[in-house]
This record gives sequence, C-alpha cells and structure tokens, in this order.
Amino acid sequence: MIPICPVVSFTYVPSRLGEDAKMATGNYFGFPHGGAAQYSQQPAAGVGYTHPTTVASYTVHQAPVAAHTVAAAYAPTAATVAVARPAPVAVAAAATAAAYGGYQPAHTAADYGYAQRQQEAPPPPPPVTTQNYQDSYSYVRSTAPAVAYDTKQYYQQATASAAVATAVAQPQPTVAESYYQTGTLNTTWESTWKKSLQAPKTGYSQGATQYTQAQQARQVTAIKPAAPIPTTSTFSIYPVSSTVQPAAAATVVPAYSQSPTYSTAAVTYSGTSYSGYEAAVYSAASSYYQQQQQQQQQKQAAAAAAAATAAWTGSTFTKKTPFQNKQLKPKQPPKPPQIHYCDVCKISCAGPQTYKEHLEGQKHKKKEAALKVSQSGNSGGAGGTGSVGSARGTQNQLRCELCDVSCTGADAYAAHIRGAKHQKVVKLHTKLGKPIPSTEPSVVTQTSATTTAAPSKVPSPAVSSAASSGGASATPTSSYLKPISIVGGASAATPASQVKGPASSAAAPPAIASAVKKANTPKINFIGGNKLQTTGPKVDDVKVAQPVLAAQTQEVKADLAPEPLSAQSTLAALQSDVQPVGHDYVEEVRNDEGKVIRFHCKLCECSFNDPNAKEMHLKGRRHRLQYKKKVNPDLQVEVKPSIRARKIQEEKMRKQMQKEEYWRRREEEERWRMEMRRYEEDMYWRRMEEEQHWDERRRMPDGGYPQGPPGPPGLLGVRPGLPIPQPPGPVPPRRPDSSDDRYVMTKHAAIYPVEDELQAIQKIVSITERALKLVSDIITDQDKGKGKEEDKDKDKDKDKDTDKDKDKDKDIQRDRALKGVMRVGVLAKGLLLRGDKNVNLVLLCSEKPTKTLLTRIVEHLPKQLTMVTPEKYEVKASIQEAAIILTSSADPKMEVTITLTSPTIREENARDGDVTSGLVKDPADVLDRQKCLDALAALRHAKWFQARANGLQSCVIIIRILRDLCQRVPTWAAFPSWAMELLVEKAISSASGPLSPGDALRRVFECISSGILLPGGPGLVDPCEKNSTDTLGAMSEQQREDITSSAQFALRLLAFRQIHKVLGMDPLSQTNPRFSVRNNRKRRRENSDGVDSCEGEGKKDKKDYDSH
Amino acid sequence: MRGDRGRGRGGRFGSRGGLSQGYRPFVPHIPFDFYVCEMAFPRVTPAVDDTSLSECLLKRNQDLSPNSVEQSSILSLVTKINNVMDNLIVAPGSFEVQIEEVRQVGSYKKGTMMTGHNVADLVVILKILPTLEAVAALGNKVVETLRSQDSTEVLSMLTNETGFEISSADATVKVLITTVPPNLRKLDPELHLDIKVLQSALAAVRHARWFEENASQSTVKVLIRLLKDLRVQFPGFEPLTPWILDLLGHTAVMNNPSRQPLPLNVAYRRCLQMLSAGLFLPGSVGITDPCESGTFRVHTVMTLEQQDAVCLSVWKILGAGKSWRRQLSGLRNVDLGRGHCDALREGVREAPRKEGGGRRGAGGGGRGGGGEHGDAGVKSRVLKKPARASTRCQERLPSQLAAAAGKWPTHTNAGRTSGGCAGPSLVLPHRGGERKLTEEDNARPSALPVSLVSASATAPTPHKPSEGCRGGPFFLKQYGGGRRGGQKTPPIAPTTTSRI
Repeated sequence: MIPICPVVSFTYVPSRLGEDAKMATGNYFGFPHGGAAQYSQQPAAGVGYTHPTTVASYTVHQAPVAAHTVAAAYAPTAATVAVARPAPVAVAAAATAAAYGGYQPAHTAADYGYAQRQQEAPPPPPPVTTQNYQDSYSYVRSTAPAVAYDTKQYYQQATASAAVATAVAQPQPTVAESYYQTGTLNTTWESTWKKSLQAPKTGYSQGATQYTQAQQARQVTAIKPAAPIPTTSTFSIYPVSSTVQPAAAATVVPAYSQSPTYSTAAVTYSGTSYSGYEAAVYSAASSYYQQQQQQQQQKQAAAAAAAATAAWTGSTFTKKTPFQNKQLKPKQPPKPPQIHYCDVCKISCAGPQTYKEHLEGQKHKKKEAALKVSQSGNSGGAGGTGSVGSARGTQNQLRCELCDVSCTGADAYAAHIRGAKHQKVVKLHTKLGKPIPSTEPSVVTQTSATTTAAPSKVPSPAVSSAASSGGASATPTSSYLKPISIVGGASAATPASQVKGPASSAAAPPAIASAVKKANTPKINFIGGNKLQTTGPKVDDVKVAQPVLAAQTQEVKADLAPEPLSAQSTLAALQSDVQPVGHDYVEEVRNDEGKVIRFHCKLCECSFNDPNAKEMHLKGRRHRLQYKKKVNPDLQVEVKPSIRARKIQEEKMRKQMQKEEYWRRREEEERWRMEMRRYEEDMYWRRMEEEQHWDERRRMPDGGYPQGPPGPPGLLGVRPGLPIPQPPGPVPPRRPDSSDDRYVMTKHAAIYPVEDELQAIQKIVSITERALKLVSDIITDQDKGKGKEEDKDKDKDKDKDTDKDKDKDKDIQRDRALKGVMRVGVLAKGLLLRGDKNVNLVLLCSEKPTKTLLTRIVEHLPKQLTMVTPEKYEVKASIQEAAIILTSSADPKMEVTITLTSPTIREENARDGDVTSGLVKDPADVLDRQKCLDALAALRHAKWFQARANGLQSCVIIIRILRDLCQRVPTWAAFPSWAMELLVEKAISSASGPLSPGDALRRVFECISSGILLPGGPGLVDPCEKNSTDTLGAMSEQQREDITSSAQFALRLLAFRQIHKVLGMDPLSQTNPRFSVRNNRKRRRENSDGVDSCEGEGKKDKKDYDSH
Repeated sequence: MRGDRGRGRGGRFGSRGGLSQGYRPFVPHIPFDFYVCEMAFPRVTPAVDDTSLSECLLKRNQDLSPNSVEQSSILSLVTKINNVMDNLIVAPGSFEVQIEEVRQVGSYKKGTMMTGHNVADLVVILKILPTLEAVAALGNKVVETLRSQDSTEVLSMLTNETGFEISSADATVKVLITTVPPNLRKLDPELHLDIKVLQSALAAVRHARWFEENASQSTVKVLIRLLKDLRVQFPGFEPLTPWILDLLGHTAVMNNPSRQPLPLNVAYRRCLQMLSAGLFLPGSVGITDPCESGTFRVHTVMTLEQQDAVCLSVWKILGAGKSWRRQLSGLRNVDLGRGHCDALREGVREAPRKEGGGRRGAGGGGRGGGGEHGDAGVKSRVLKKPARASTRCQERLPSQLAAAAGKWPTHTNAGRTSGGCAGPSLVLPHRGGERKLTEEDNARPSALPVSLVSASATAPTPHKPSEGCRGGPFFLKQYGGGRRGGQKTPPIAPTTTSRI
C-alpha cells in the first residue's frame, strides 16, 4: 500500500501542476486542511519519512521504504524532492525541529506544523505555477554538484524558493501525497530555515564530501548503524546545493533541464527505489498517469506549461523505472507513450490485452511478489541497517538495473550484458525512450550515446539554466555519485543551455560511464562519483574501465571510513582482481570427438559448460574456500560476516528501531487517529466516489434538479478538482435515490459555497499563511540574534548530533516563536457554507502567546502581506480574542481570524491540578488562556473530524445541512456546532449500514427526538478532551427541549414527505418519467371521470416551479 | 389476509423516489434506537437515579393490576365457560354447532389485564360455517348450561358482530367466534360473520401463542400494562392497538444487543424514546408482526394521522418534563407529589380524556384486528370519566407541536404539496372503527395526511399565546413548561383521529 502512494502521487502530480488555480483551489478545500489529520495519519512510509524523530529512525526508514517515498516525491515535483531531502537534514541536524515537535510530547499540535502550508497550495496563476516548478526543479538540479557556489545570496533565495517549492508541492492532492506532503510539509519551513541558517556556515567543499557519504549511505542501501551520522552531515549540505539552484533557475525557464534532474533523483534511490514500487501499482499508476496526462494536456493552454508537462512526463517515467540513473528521454508532451510496458518484468506487450494478460500471468505475479517481499523485508526489519537483507544480496553483486538482474561477479555481469535478453531489453527501452542505465564500461560508449541523445532530442522550449548546466558539466567537482548521472543528464540537456553538441556529449560519456558502474552497485557508483569528481574534468576517455575502478576503490576507502568493511569486501568481490586458483583441479570433459563439452571442478564437484563459467568459478568464493580447505590453507578468502552475526546485528537494529518507534508513538498524543486514518482514508475516498456519484446523478439531464446543477456536493471537504479514481470494474448497483435523498442533495448543492467564495477564501487563507510564514521567519531571525548563546546546553538530550552548527540550528528551531499556522473550524473541516465569510486559523507559538507577540505579529504582518500579494488586507489585533483579524478589501469580503495559541498552554493545564508553580513563569501579558485553549481544541476537533466524519458516508453532507439549519432556524442556533458534528457522526456511524443522505438526515432527527439531548440523557462525550466532557454542557434545558421538539417536528415532516419544509426549500418537481407515466394514466382515468383535479394540481405545481 | 396489506408497497416508491432508473423497492427506514447503539453514546453525564422511577412504575403496575376479587371472578367465569365449551366439543350431542377448539386469548391469557376491566377473551373455532344463528345458538346454549349449573348466578349474554359476551356481575367473557381456516373461503357475507372478524379472531389465537412463547417475562407484562395505561392517559396513543403494545413492550424489553431483558424502568423509557424517534412513523420499519406472513409492519394498521399522533404524543411525555424521572408519564413528580401525577397515581379513572366518549365510538370495536377486543373495552370503561386535566392535555398536544412549528419556515404553498405530489392524492381510509387500510397506507404516505396538509396550509396564522394552549401539556404548564407559549402556531397535525 505504501509503495503505491508514491506512485500514485507521482502520477497525479503532473496534471495537478498543469492545471491552474482552480485545481489548486479544489485542492485547497479538498483536503481539508486539516493539515491536522494528515499529519497524524501517515502511512508507514510516510511516517517513516515524515516523522523521523531522530536521525536514526530516519535512516532506518529510509533505506527501503523511504527510498520509495522519496522517489515518489521526486517524481511529483522536483519541489517535493527538494523538500524531501532537506527533511533528513532537518531531522538530523536539528533534532528538535519544530516540525517534528509534534511528536515531542509537549506539542499536541505542533505536528501540524507546516503541513498545512502545502495544502494551501496557493492557487498560483498558471505562469506562476510554472515558475514554481522550475524552482523546484532547480532544487533537484542543484543536486547536481555543479551549481552551488555562492553561498549567502543563494541561500536566501533558497529559502524563498523553498517556500515556493512547498507551494508547488502542495497542489498534489492524492492521498498518498498528502502523506508525503505532511512529511514534506513538516520539513518545509524547517528545512528552509534550516538551510538559510545553516548554509552560510557550511563549507561547500566540505559539504561535498559529506554529501558523497550520505549519498553512499543511501545508495548502498546497506546502512550500517554508524551510517546515520554521515547521513546527517551529508544532508546538511544537500540543501545548500539545492539552494543554489534557484538562482540559476530564476532567470530561466528550464523546462528541460529538469529531466536530467529527475534522473539524478532517480539515481539516488535507484536500486532500492525500484523494489519499492509494487509492480502492479506501477502499471496501474502508469496507465492512470497517462490518462492524467491527457487530461492535463487538454487543460494546459500555455506552451510553456505543456513543456513543463512533458518534463513531467519524462520525470514520471524516470521515477517509475527502476533504474533511475538513466536519463530519460522525455516524451513529446502530447503523446503519452502507448507502449504497454511492464516495469516489473521489463517487457513490452503488444497491446492492452496482452498486457493485461501478462499482468495476470504467473511470471509477472511471481516477480511482483518477489519485489514486494524484498521491499517489505527492507522496510520492515532492515531499518537502519539499510536493508541489510537486500544489502547482503546486492552487496557483492553487480546489478543490471535495466533488467533487474544481479550478477555475482564482473564476468557474470559482462555475460549478461552481452546476452540476448539484455539486448532485447535495451532495445525496448531505447524504443520506449526510457532511460537506459549505463551498462558496463565497455559497453558504455554505446549506451551513453543513446542516453545522451535522448535528452538532447527533447524539445526544450525554454532556456534551461545555462549556469547550472554549465556548472554541472564543467564542474565535475561535484562530490557525489549521482551527480555523475546528473552531470550526464545535465550536459545532455544542456543543449538548452547552449553547451551544445560535442562539449556536452564529451562531458557526458565519462559521467555516464562512471554512472554506469554506480548504477549497478551503489558503492561503485559512489566511487564513480568520486572518481568523477577528481578526474571528471580531465577524463575524456570514455572507456573508463579498470583504472577508474581502481581509483575509485581508493576513493571509496577514504570516504567510506564508517563502513570500510563492507566497502572493501564489495570492492574485492566486484573488481574481480581475485586471482583464479586451482586451475589444475578443473578437468576438461571431452566428448567422443575430442571436443570439450564441459569442465569439471574436482574440488567442488561441479561442472560447467562455459569457459567463462569456469573462470568465474575459479575466482568464486566457494571454489576458493574449497581450495583453501583441500589444497592450500594459506589462501586468503575474503571473510564474509557470518550469517549469524549479520542476523544478530539485524536484530539489534530492528530492536532499536522498534524502540524508537515505540517512543515516537507514545509521544503522539493522538496516536489512535493514526490507525484510524488509514481506514478512514479508504472510507474517505469511497465517500468521495459516492458523492461524485451523487453529483453526476444530479447532473443527469433528466435528473433535473430545479436548483440547477448543484456544485460539487460534498467536495467541500475534499479536493474538487481531483479526478476521483472511479472504482474499476462495475460499480455495485445501488439503490436509486429516494425522494428525500434528492431533496437533501439539492439542498446541499444550494448551500454549498459557490466557486467564487471558495476561491476567495482559499486565496485569503493561503496568503495569510504565507505572510505568517514570512513573519515567522522575520521574528525568528530577530530572535536568533539575541538568543544564540542562551541555550547551548539544552540539547544534551538530543541525539547524536555533535556538529556545532547543527546544535545552533536546533536551538533556532526550537526557539522559533511561531511554529506554524493551521486551519481549524469550518475551513479545516470543509464545512463552509455559502455565505460563510469567516474562517479561522490557529497560529501555534512555541511559548505561550503574549500580547507582545501578538502586537509584534500585527506589526509585521501587513508588510509581509504586501510581499505576498498586491491586494490590500486590513489587519487588526484583537487582544481579547487572542487573535489577529485579517479582512480582505476585495469582494467578496473574507475575514480570517488567526488565533494565537501554544501547546504549552494545555500542558500547564494538566499541571495545574497539583502545582500552581506552573503559573509562576508565565509572562505577564499572556493572552487569554481560554481562548488559546479553545484554539487548541479547535485543532483537535479538526483532526477528529477528518478522522471520523470525513470518511462516513453522508456524514459531511448532513453536517452541512444541519449547519445550515442551525443558521436558519433560531431554535437550532443554540446547538453548539461541535456537539452537532459529534452527534451527527454518532448517529450516522451507529447505523447498521451506510445511509443515503435522506436516511441519514432522518436518523439524525430521530436520534435527537429520541431525547438524546434531554437532561438525563447520556450526554455527548467529547472525544477530543482527556477528561470526559459533555459537549452539551452549555445548553440550557430549555434549549435542549426546544431542539428535541423541533427535531421531532422535523422528523414528522420528513416522514410525511415535507422534507422541503425542514430544509427550507421549495418542493421539487417530479421528473421521474415513470412517475409521470403513472400520473398520466391516472389523469386519463380521472379525465374520463370528469375529474381533473390531479392534473390541475400537477400543472399548478409545474407552474410554480417554473416561476421560481 | 391481513398480512397482505404489507405487501406490494414498492410500487409507490418506485414511482416517487427514483430517478429514471425506475423501480425503487421500498426499504423501510430503521429508526434510531438508543439502546441498540448505546455503545456509540457513552454516558458522560451522571447516571440518573432511577430508583424512584422504578418504584413508581411498580407501584403503578400494582395499581393497574386487577385485584384479587376481580381475578377470582373472572377466573371462575372463564373456567365455567371453558368447561361448557369443552363438553360441547367432547359431547356435542344433538347440538348442531360443532366446535373445533376453544382458546383463551387476549389480555386474560397474556396476563396483562388491567383492573376495572374484567374481561377475558375466548376464541371459539367452529367446525361449521359461522352463521349468525350458529353464534346466537352457541351463546344461548352456553348461558343456559351455565344457568343450569348454578341458578343463583346472574348471567347475561349478548351477541355482537364478533360473537357474544357472557357477563356475570363483575366479570365478562367475550367469546370470539371464528372457524377453521378452510371455511374462510366459503363464507357468504350475507349469512356469516364478517371475514375480518373471523380472521382477527384467528390472529388473536396466534398472538396469544406467540406471546406465551416469547413474551412471558413478567417485565414485559408489567410494561405492557403500563403502556396500556399510557394509552389511556394520552389520547394520541389511542390508536395503538393492544397487539402493537404487546409487541412494543416485548421489543423494548428484549430487543437489545445483549438479548437480556432490560429492567422495567429502562424498557419503559425506551418505549417512549423509540416512539418519539419515529418508530411508528410512516416509512419506518417499525415492528414487524411476527404472527403474519411476510413482513407486515404493525404500525401500518394505524392511519397516517394516528401514526403522527403517536409520535407527537410521546414528545408530550418526553419533552414535557425537566428530567427523565419527571418525564415519564404517570410517574413524574413523584417528588412533587401533586397535580396531575397525584391524579395518575390515584388511579386510571382519573385519566384525562375529555372527549373519551366520542372518540371511543370511532376507535372502539375491532381496532387492531380483533383478538384484543377485551382490551379495547378497557378503554371504553376507563375513559368514561372525563377528567379536568384532559381538556388542557387535549389542547396542548397540538400546541406543543406548534411551538416547534413556529420555528420552521412554513411555506404558504404547503397546501399544494398534496397535489404537488401528483400521486394519488391522499385519501385516508378510515372506515368506522375498522382499520382497514389500502395498499397505499403501508409505506410512507404518498402525500401528507389530510390533516397535516390542511393544517400546515393554514399554518402561518400565528397563534396567540393566550389561547388555551398556553402552557404546553398540563404538566408542563404546571411545572414551568409553558415558556414556549409565545411561539405557538396552530398544530400541523391533529392529535386525534376524530378530527379528520
């Protein structure tokens, strides 16, 4: 399931991006923001990635699972990538990162952190969007070692761009994405700040090394316990480089430079990532993706946009392909590849039919299963060990990424490369325009030629950032491996950057050559990278074979200090520098004609047909062991860690991981929601489908709802623009709507906010959020100056971070006064109704919010607003409300209330019970506590809502209807909205099965009229409070009675077919043909009787309707 | 057969609800029942102390139960008649009315008799076709035999449309005549008893048997007795037939997830809650008659107005009080000890029923399809005494609703609704005392009950608070429930069938 997510999200993204603001809007409301919920419920992968509490945990996850995740992230948006990467950094460097604060016991809400940001997905006007992409791309590119030179400026920009990137990332709506986003999200601000802060300090060159290391750690997959540390350091650098990108990108419209970028990304995760995806998923995804793309294409008007899409396409593919280090040949935008390609088996099928058959076939299934196993094994146990299991498998192997075949030695590898099968695949891939991982050195030339060709063919409409690509090709200084492939890519893509022809190709081959190696074995790649780094500029020789390897080896040794053993052994195995021994013991077996038909090794009692095999055998470990045993005890046979030792280590890692997991989980206050969510998520989508269904029905020509085609019902809580994956296969037959259903849905459509309102709200909210983020940055910057020295000692408890820079960063993270802004209330729950003009945000502060802080924000906010948008907004502080109120001047006038709060407020609440000392340290001008608590509660409510109500069929619809009712009917105004939501959810969820909207409404009324609200009833427990609290507590007896009475009245009306009175609407006309048939019959009869009352009635009714 | 009424309902819904997809089978709505999904509503408020309610209910039950004198007299009468019948079965001699079987049915059999209504029901299943003459002959024969056995006892015999009744000084035995099912096809309306009567007598036999097998817990019996009491007190409940009450009582006590009988107080409360939640409203699944083939929703024997009235009346009880304890009718104010409650506790005879007589005419007789005639009779007796309070009660039921009505946007064009539905406009069958409904009646109405329509059509005229309905139900008024008075608008639904 997890692996799916990436794929899906990835798939989806392009379209998302391609689409314009509207989509964004949808997105916006769509995932109601609950930023909240998201964060709480991330699936394993997401979780692993997202919430790494500690470095270690991060590493752990990362190896197998994260790899996928990340890959996915890459795919969707470069931006995501950029973000994603920093994540580790943030984690590692600043263990305390606020983003992760959520997991720290203290912060309930902290986790929401910036997650929201993403969702906000400010609806960027198309051009902007493009720009964003580019930025994001640039991030990726930045990966390319090439770019980063300037420090400061770039860094700053990076910050900005990071934000943008975030924004870009946001639009991605898929469920999976949301997960990612969350993860990503959290990082976003963090990392950005991180970068900005940290960047200046980190030396670039230093960074390079580190980076390399990190790279290695990742790529190798086998992450030793020690690995985390290198990773950390490495990563810190990474952001830096990415930071650089924006600068380059800023000027350019680097549509195409991206593809290389992707490949880069791919490279990083290459081996592992592939296994990450489920084959099936992938194929599904790809088809989906294609659709997607088509759609998208339609939508995209601008050529640039199209180009971007193309880029995306390319990237998409890259991502999917297991061997990411190849450059993809981006397809022409308008034509998604029609070849039915099975990524798992690496074959193409003639048509959809065969493809399907293949997918259902044994062979495919087996492969897929194997993939899954390896992958789950990785993600599950391996943890920090970097998927020791798989590592073991791959460590000493050469791997043909293209065919997904592992060879135990160079010879075997060579044999494979020469083999027909491999050739076939290469051909196919060339045809497909898929990236072809470079093969063995000797073959390199050829391969690289193709690869390079591909990118250059790309019709890059825009000028890619010359600077960056130039840098890339010219400066093989880049420390890490990927860069290599990247470099290749970059140079290939460089045509755009005017580094045309020979130059680029010249540069490329070496890069690729080394990349090739790398692709096959992570470590080697790594070496290649280094190699490149050192020799890069000078190496013109395309045929970098053994010498390079040798050099690499050395490099590796130097760099791989943390894990010399594995590296060495790997190298030993791979380099085939082992001298064959025991030639004498191999006999040639001849047939009658004296022709050698096979060889027989007497030592090992085995035989081979092939001279090559013989060679390999002689070098092989088994043979050598035998030789050692039987012939020469002095022979050195490289030691392999015993299986047992490895297992023990593995076990240890697993335990450690579990422990961390355990603590992390414990720290989450809302842990239960997590599990909840996964389930709910499904429900949620099901509901979406359902609503979509309703929607469609409503739109059916003869379904004719008088109110006109209702807006997207129920989509408030969802992303309207989202193409909802219709369930494949036949939709189960469902009951036709009852009349009540029609009424409810019609009403719902009528109260659903109009598009303009949605837009306006979304706009003001996202602007507010962005501005607040800037304010947060500013405040942090200001504070940073003051508070640097203060709490150095604070970090003792933090994990492995030894780096001073990191420490500082951590401090800063911790001290960030404004930690995040979250949506709450109707906005987060997606309960906006037409005419709603007020929405609420909650600004989380690290300390108890004070008046000083409030005024400070109010001072800064207007300025930042002007930076974000040209429009005018009125900002005023409301101390009593502990809030800032932002009003838009444009029509429709929207108002955002930003309430300040802090998780610490609630903590103290708990403490209050025993000691009053907690109060002592409160600043004097703390804002009203109750308001702050309310704001926190609102956050929890939003979460609850996402977890419980969102997934429940009809639930959101009915809540909206009741909200409307509460607004319309005075009696109901007394019904607290929170209690109402709870009640509706309970009433509906306690039913024996899913309810149609009409039934659900009736049931809610029944529930109330059964006296559940009346004094003496059970009350309504508040699931979001620790102590059992009655949400109805605030209602007076009279109000309860009134509402009960009113509900019963409504129930009776409903039962007697006067639901329109309850809903406050006019009766719908009868449009049912069947009905009218009957009516006609009746009419005829009655006419013959001379009575036409019925007809008269009907006519009148009709007229009435028309006049409305 | 009666059961047939429950069938064939789909058509209307298919026509009304569905879009062009066509046939939409009628799937009754399962109403909310707190005790079925109690888990979803964990209690946060302090549990209500129910001891006084329990005590009250028990006390009330005791008051309602027949006293020993009544019991012995009815017992002796039933025994004697039974003996006579048995003799006739065993040795018919020359008596031409051949009897297949004699069964005790109704509240006597079920053990849910009420004091002051000492009537037992016997069903006599004839082998022959039940001609009026045969009935009379049987009645006379029995009375004569009894008289011959004990000449001192004063007995009277009256025939009626269902059979005959034999009364002694303080007890009555109603003998319901029916015939063996095969004979039902050979009936001639001119000569024989009405087939409905015969069928309902047969149904009564089934009911008695079902009850014996399923609902013999004393909690159920006590609850049923209390429900009957409620029915007497609140005119809105009048349409609830004894059989519905039996089923309701049984459901309330037994139909919960644990399948263990609920305590009396809980079950009592639950009855009211279920009714209030629209258990017997149109479209609801209600309670399925276990003694009829197919799915026959028992509440569909009531007219739409009656269904509405039942729901509404519960609200009177539920909504009136300030706490559960007080809400529960008849028992509220245990602590207050005055006013209506006192009256209630003093006895059924105080039951408020102003128009009791008049309505009885309409509602009496074969309501609910026979078998429970005796029970029906209870009402007539008990209700003979109009109570002062009843006036208010009568008035306020609608007014209560009006309170709510006032808060809903009322559409002036509401009257159009019935026509607008364009279905066969609602003609509610309401034939005398018999509750024979057309097919239309079993599911949700295709249109509003006439009364609802007309009432709502005229609804917009605001009601003056000063009008008689000021305080809500009497008890409401007494205990502060009148606050809503100001918002009164006219009732949208009548509370009694007699208004239609």
